[in-house]
Amino acid sequence: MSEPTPAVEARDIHLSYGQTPALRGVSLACWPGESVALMGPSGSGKSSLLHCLAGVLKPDSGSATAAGARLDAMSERERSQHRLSQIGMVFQFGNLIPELTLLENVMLPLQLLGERATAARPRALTLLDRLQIADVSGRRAGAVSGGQAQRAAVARALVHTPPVVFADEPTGALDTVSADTVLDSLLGLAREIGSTVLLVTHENRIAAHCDRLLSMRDGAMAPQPAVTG
Amino acid sequence: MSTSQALLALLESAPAHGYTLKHRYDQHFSRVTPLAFGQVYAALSRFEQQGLAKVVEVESGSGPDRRRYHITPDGVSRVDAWVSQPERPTSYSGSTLFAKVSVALMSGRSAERVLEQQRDAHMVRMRELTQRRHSASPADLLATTFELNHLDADLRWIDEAGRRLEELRDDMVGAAR
Amino acid sequence: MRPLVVLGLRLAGLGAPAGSGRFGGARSAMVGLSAVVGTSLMLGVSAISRSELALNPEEFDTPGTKVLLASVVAVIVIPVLVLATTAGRLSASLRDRRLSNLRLLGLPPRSTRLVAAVETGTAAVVGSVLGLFVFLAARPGLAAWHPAGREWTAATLRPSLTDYVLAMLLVPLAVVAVSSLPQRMGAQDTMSTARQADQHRPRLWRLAPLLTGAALAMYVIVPASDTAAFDYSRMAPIMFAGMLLLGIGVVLAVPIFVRLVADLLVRRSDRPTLLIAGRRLQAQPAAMTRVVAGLLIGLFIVTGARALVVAFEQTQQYQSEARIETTGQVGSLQTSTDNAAAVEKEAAGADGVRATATLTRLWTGSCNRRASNCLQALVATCDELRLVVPSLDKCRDDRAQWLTSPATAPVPDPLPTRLDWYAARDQGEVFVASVLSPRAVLMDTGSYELVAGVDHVFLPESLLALGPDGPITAVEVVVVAEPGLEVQDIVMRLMDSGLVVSAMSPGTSYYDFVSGLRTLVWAIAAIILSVGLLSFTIAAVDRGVARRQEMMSLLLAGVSARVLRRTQWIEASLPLAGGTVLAIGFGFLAGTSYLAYGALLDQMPWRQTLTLAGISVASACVVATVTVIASSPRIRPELIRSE
Repeated sequence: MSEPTPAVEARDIHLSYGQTPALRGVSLACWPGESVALMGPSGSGKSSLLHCLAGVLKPDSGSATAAGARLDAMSERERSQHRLSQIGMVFQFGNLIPELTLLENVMLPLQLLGERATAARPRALTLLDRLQIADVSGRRAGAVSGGQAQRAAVARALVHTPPVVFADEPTGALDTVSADTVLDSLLGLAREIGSTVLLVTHENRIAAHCDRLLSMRDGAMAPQPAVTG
Repeated sequence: MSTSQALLALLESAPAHGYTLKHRYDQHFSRVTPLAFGQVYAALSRFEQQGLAKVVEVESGSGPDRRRYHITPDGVSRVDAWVSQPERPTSYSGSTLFAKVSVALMSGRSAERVLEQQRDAHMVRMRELTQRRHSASPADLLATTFELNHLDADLRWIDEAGRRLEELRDDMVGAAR
Repeated sequence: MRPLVVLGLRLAGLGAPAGSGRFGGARSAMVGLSAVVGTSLMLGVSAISRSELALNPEEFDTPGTKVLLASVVAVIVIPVLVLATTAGRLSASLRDRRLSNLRLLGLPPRSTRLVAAVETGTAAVVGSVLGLFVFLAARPGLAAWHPAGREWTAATLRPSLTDYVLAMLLVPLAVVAVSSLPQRMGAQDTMSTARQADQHRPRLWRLAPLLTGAALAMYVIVPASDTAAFDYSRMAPIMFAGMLLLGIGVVLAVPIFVRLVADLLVRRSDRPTLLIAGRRLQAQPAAMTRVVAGLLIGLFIVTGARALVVAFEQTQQYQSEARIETTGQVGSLQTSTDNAAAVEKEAAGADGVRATATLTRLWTGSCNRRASNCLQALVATCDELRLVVPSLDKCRDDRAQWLTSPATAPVPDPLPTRLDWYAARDQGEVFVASVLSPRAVLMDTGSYELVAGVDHVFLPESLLALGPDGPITAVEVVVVAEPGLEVQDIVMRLMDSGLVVSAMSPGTSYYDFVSGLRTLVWAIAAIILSVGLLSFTIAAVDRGVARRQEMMSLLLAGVSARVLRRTQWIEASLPLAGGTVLAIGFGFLAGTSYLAYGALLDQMPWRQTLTLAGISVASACVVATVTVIASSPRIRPELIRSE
């Protein structure tokens, strides 16, 4: 029986912005289906690591693997395509196109992957219903509340059932109650699909939602605790 | 706040009379509410009984404040155990944590480890509470979120203290002399 | 006061530490560029118009031509103003936010306006002064250009003092005015516009002026073919009202048109590119109105003006002078029958003469040769007639024929079977022949292109007895010059022989004048198009840059850059291309109503208008491409870090 392979893996990643080092030999591994919180103060490099794992940035050295593909060995177009089809992304701001309705925003990844609107629409509506925003699905994204928009962003990240989900401070702009709702939706849905979630946050209460916690400081990974939850 | 543990730790840093010990305690741990002398003397006798401390000098004159105490190796082990064991995370563990970090800094032990271990324990508790929310009744939810918020406050302090350890260390060591 | 001025300058990107003022610097550069373009254009156009007035005083004597020139020149002001205001509102939301922050700090409104004025005004003033120098440097070039034979010189290309003051003040004032206006009037962020998109569908009443104007124009055009029944006095105000409403209506109707296109795009929800572009257009159909409006008004006026110039092109004087380009100008030499052969021989042998012919004229009765109480006939062969009327197709050498429709000729009523024709001789006349009355009409439409006289009838030579002993004593030797040569010069030389009694020939002054007008109209069109497109590009790039955050998030989520580029291209090109075609189309309609009024319907400049439309659409595509390239979303580490 072979060892299970990590869904997300970083091996000794180095990255610098010009002269400033951002990541100094960082390694991590996330196993299929688990949710991992990546914490650290601002400037610790956690977002940069996330971007390397998502194929947004190319590390100077080391390997980045997500959803079964070696991202550091791909061209920019391939990484973009990989990201579209295999990864779901949720950010703090600006996930949605404000002029499109929530439904259209959620359908977008499916349509970009080639599905027809007739097939994409019911899938999107189901998700929106699960997240309890089906009643506002016809409103434009710029016209709904922050919590509703972020829930739609979660739906958009998961509508194409990606094996890996990256979230960068997804609830940073929300109040505590809305944040809890959004996070519950994200992790609950991800668990159903079996997606691995890597969540970057600087808030303890958010990190407490995840199965495992990793910390970074000054571009390096802090040693892991002996006991995990 | 386990006052006696803190007193024992203070004794570790230097032998002292009860009087001196009380003032040291007030200065480090209780600026607002000074410790009662009676509590100090009671603690010191207990230490003597338990073999955690011994009297090394008796000055002339009457009264318990004329005895000078010295910590024993057993006492040192006790302090060790106390510092290296994380507190059970409740809403009230904050002040003890504060004491432990101060003690660690004064005695040259690893304050970073204290903080890290406590952080991990807190996070485990937070995770439990977060899971519990799903099946909690509204009243339970209030209690749960109350505790979550306080744990969060502790964790924030842990982070901040962690960042200021260097300055703190210099300050503590100097004051202990 | 001084710290406010310094703050304004800093915000404009001047005197700031290296690198930090870059964004403000780019914006100030755009404002400055707009000022340079605007001022130099206005000075150039006013110089040219003053030069035209100075060199062609006769042609510009009529109020009609003066108005035409003035309005065509004034049309330049519109795109210049649009360019200036667009530049002044660059990065509007960012700058408005900064100004309101200043107000929150406690700065009184007047002071914040001062800061804003200095920020944009400085670059505008500098640009204006540069524009003056650009004009002065370009003036010798203008003088050397000689378009359509114009003899402009540095002396005539002289704007008046008012022109100078206006040109140099207009752009900075416009820029400053628009940049210090409160936020309410300016750009809003995408969130709130998205919110309003559903509530604020552009109302249908906006279509009313356009439709009314179109209806009025059709009301003039449709019955115009029946010139007899056309009531000119009643139709005149209708025609003008129609033209005015069309002009206003085009601008008002643009948001509706854009919204219509947007709705159509959105329906194609299967293509995400079209969906996103459509939704964005739905959210802001009027966003580019100010910019597009200037462009459209300009194009509308230019297309109409081109049609107006057609009226000039239909005059007989122009037609005969214009032959210099096609079949060669026609001059005539009056001489006696005895000398006719010699004169014709000399003429045929002269340099630059393509063909010659001998013609004569007869009349039906005693009449002053120029009077309208008798018919006038031209005597020649069909071939000779073709020399002077090249478009002639049917012609018979054995019968008299009407040259043009006899409806307006002084035909005796009823028309007798035969007509008696007389030749003029000294103070009286002598009978020449009696000929069967004409029945067929040689030329149904168009004008009769002969140099002199209104000839009603064509009498083939074969029907008459001509020759040295005949009753006719005075003939006309017609000289057709090679295309490109002025027949005037040839005729002058032939007169020296002494055999010629008098001569008539067209020059080229009117032809030059009208060609100049045409060139002017097209030049203005090119300027309007360029300036308008420049404004549009600046505004579109500005908007694209403001949307960078959104673009970055989409890129991060895996949406391909190609999809984003295509969306932006459609969003930019569609309203622009569609709007310009609309403006040109309705300008064409307005021009047609004018020409219909002047019974010149068949002279509509179809091809030139279609060319203009084609160029506009192509330019729209280029502008859209430039917009996409300039605001092209690319993943750059520095940009992600700042998120």
